[in-house]
Amino acid sequence: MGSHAKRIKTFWLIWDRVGIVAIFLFVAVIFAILEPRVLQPDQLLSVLNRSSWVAVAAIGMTFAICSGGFDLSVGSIFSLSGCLLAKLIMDNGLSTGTAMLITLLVALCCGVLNGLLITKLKIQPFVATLSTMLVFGGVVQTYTKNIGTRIDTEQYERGLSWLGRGAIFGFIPSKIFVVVALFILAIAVYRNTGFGIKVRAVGSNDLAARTSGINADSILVIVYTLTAVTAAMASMLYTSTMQSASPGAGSGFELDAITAVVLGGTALSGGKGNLAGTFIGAFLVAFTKMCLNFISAPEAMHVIVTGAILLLALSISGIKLITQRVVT
Amino acid sequence: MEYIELRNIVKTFYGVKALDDVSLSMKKSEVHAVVGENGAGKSTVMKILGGLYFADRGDIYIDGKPRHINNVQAALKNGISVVHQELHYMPELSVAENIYLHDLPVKAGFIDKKTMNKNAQALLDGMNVDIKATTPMSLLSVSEQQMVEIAKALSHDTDIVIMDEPTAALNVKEVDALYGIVAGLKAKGKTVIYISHRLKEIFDICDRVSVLRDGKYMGTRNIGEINQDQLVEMMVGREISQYSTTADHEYGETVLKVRNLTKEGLFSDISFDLHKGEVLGIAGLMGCFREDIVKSLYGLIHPDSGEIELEGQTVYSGSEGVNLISTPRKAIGRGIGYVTEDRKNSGIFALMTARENLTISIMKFLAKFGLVRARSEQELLDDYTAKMNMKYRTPHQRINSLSGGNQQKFILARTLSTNCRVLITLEPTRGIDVGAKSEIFALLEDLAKSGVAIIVISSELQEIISNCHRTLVIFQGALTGEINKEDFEETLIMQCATGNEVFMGKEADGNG
Repeated sequence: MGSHAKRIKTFWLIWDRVGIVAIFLFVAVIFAILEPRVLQPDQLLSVLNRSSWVAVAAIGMTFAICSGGFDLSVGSIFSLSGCLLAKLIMDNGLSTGTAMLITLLVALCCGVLNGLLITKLKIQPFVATLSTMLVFGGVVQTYTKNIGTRIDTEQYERGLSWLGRGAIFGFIPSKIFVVVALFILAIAVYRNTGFGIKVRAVGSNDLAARTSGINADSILVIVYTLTAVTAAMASMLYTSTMQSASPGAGSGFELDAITAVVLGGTALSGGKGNLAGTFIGAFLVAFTKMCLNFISAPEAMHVIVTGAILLLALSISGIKLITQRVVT
Repeated sequence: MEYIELRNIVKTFYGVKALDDVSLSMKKSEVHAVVGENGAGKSTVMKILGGLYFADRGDIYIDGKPRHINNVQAALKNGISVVHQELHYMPELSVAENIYLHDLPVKAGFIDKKTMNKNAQALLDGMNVDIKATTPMSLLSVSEQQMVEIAKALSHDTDIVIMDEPTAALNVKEVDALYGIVAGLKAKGKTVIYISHRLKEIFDICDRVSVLRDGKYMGTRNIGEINQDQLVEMMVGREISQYSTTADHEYGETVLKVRNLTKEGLFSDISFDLHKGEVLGIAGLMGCFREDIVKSLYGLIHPDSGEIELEGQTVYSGSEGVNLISTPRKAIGRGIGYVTEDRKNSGIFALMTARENLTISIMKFLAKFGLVRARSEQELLDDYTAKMNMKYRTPHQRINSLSGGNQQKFILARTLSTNCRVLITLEPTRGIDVGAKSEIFALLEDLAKSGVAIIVISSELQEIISNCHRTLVIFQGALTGEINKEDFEETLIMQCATGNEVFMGKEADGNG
């Protein structure tokens, strides 16, 4: 009946916006039953801190998925950026600011390369970034000889400590400030700029986008540059927190970022993104890891639980399609 | 005695009544047309019969017995098969595999390819179409794929066949074949429910016609007792003259000059002029490559040789290697606009809102300091809403929830927002209802009067005859005719479209 259909429609409209919150509460309740301490405020603040790098990389990933593709190379770019930053400071004696700038430029080049492979050589995003994931990963190992770099305290205090452990107004951790600022910026770009709308247009219908005179190729190059640069920024947050960098730091990182985006409600089919959802998705990924640590679950458990949560989110999207009889 | 009876069917989508107490009935072995504007509910009725939707209320009786049709299998079991408007096929599989995918003949656990191919070939031959059953589907033209879609429905050998816009992608010869198929089904005592926007077909092959308007049943008439104007009036509820515009205003100087344009394998030696304020038709049968000619004016196809001059400037020259319109973006920059014939695949952004679908081409003009101003977007939308009589609930509704005619208006408005001086429209009225059709052409005429040079490609000759100053006719990639308004005649255009040359244009050099 009409009112019934209307109620279903209203439910899904609300779900699209806040479904991730419901999933989060569900997961939180389960863990709280297993171990009540996970809900203490200082624990949650620590989760927020630890979610920051996944969250930042997931910004770029949201745009990439929204444009109809995705980027597997962010994990390698994450490793590369961290090691480059640490080595530039320690081995080359550069100031923190200069080292950061160079790191961002290198990541930018990685992103442009991905973008050109995808647009000019017409390689599928999956395969193109899979290849560059291997290439960039190999470059890190060669460059670092597979050894991590620790930033000594004197250098650390001069720059990165502000980002990693500092606070603004004495109580807002600077990392969280940076993350929130980046998200506000990203949401503004997504909603209110021509670029944001064109990314959705390309993801929604590439052919129509080109026919309406949108330079789809340059939009995509910018998108992949954005994923690479946000991965580098994520890596800086990570390195500044750990006070060290290792060539293996980014392994599996791309999956965390993709998980955060998909949990947040961005459709893998492209055309529609949800940045606020991505933020909560990243928080949920970090929260799950923290909780599992708390109850001393083995490492393998982390992967299983993350996978299960992802399946839960995707099944609900599937149920949505079925109730709307979009698919039979 | 009625064979199929739909009684008091109600179907609601999200609170909107798509069908409001509709009762329809069809006799055995008749060809029964169901017509109505887009959004009138005819596709919904057919989807309920075909098992894709389930009615909220109402009953279906076939042969006097109530039937419960809640999925496609149940529809088939009750003797109903459907030729869908959209093509659903697997490009990698052969024609025969596509036809029998639902019921592959098996021998000792393996697919019996020999039987399958034989049966498929017999079916196709019986339909009087020249398609080999073993050809991969992807190698067929769109119209051939449509014929396979029809074969698929016939392969079920059901007593009731529903055809939803079966001729939308067919050329003249295949339409004839389809007429033959429909006559054959009728002779075998089967019932055909025929949906088409082309009213001529309904008068050609149907026995009775039922009309729906805004989800309500308006009545059924015997074909012999109604004429086209009366039928249109029943459909739209008001008197409209379908072919009102006449393109009788004078046109101005040459805007676009095309000389000896050639693209290997598609078209060759195409020359014509387009004038300010002129509406120029391009006619030709499906598969004559007329679309490809205009696509090369918009950077979607790169020609091999020839010349294109736009407003006195050479924008393409094969011999000098100049191409200033090599992408749609560049073409738009030079004042060329293009409205696609394939609204779904290269026109709309289905996931985006109606307003975004309008403003997307001129985002940068609506932005200030990089931020798009919602107010400018809304002003643009209000402007076109008034100009084009667009209908929508809110600017933020998804474009794919609008009717075909309104989607078409949004795409046309998007193109016009770029302030084009040359407007290329491909099949501007495909799949939209009669009322919206005349609105679109009235709009094109107003644009032409304001000085825009317009190219119209249409498969419906009557549209070209009624609305263009001049028409070119293409046959197998070559220009075979140029006919002025005074000499327009359906038979003359068809002669050119099948290979006889006729040139009556003002420019002698157009003959090439």
